Amino acid sequence: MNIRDLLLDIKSPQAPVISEVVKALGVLETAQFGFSSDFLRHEYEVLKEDGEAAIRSVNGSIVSTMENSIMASVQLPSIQRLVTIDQIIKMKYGSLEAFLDSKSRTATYIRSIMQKLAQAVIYGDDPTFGVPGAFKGLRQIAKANGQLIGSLNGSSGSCTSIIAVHWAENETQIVIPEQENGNLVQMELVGGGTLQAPTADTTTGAKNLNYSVSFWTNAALQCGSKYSVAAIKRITPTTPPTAELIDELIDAVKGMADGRTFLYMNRLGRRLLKQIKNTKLELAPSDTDYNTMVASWDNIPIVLDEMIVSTETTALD
Amino acid sequence: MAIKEILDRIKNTLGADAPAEISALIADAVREAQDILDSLSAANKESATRKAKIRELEAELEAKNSELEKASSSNTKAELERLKKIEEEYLKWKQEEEEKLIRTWQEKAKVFEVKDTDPLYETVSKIKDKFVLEGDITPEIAQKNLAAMQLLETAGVFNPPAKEASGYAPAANNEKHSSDYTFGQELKNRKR
Repeated sequence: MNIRDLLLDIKSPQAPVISEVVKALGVLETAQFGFSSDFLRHEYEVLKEDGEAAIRSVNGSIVSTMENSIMASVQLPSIQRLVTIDQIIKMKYGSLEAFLDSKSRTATYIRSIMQKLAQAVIYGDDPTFGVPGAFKGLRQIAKANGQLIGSLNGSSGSCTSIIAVHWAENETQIVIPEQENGNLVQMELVGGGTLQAPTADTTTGAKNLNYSVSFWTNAALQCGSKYSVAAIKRITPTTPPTAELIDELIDAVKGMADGRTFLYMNRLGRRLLKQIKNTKLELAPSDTDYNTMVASWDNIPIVLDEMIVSTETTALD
Repeated sequence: MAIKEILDRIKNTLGADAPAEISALIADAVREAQDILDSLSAANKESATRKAKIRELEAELEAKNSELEKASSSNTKAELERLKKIEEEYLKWKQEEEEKLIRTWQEKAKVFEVKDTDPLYETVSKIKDKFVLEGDITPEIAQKNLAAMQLLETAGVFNPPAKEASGYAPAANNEKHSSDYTFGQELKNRKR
């Protein structure tokens, strides 16, 4: 189930805020979510091949096949934000509770963590485009599985990717630990909410006077199949994707209009996709609307995600 | 001397030799005198009864006047005013309660206005004719409708259908869900 359904299912009080925040983070809004097997660690099977069945006649025999899967595991790193609140600011509000009792502030903190999670889901722990210390991302897994489609050769540093993902329960999903309080983003007051005096200048010994609050979530990406993810690499305005490439991309994840296959791209990727339609467009004199909108490709939804950059380098390939 | 005795003496004085016509007239006069005496006697008796009745009514009137005088005293007037005020307040409260009852029902009755695309449409269509929804809705009708509605609500008839795998759970079913969630509220809840 998606993040919204999962949070509603566990009666998470953060469900409305997170549902709203992920609307601008396409990959998180549409991804399959599940709970990790062991809180901050997730163990799962990677199915290499399905194995073959055969016909066996009465009193006949059949060759047995081994369960052809390997066990994999992934750690759930903490995606964290530490907020410091100056003593004077806290005094203005009266208490930390009052300071944090703001819908916009709450949404901002949650959004910053969700954006970082979305970045990690796409680019993983890539030192340039991803989040160091994170798990492997969609773009990295596509490469590792030989699922980078096409031979476009856009200039390094000005490329983008279109990523296809076929989400599947317990196979291709984002895993989170099952928290007792139902919150996806956790919160802890540093020092129990007492005034802190960290050193601001080691030379002079000057100190700050503030309160700190830590916000974090734990999550990881599980891709248990070679067909979980694929990507078209090195797309630029001068090396745009073709209709054939998009079809090939969908085929690479055995994609179908089952509500679980999605095409993720940024605005450049979407603009280039619209150009494909634009070249095929025929307008009659009576038509008053010039419509190049492409919401789906063979009923597979096209999802905009701003975390996909247009400055990708060949280091990702 | 009474008139009857006078006539008897005239009759005796005339004796038996008196002309028959005179004797007949005297006899008529005696009868007439007797009738007049009888009538007078009866009239006197009736007058005595009336006088007794008048005295009785006068005594009664005096008693009523006394009561009326007592009732007109200032204390009684104040008490009367207080009671009138209580009555007015009660009637006003009763009217408000009745209007409130009707309003409550009208609010509840909106559940019957679901569109045919609503998951509750089928359920609502089945029970709709069990309620009085049209015409003049009196407080008594509203009361009966509300009682029936409460029964159905308790039985969960109006609860939305269970969430399907691909559907969305209605927020109303999850009391903890609130778009007003903040970290400040979270901290306050922890302290409770």
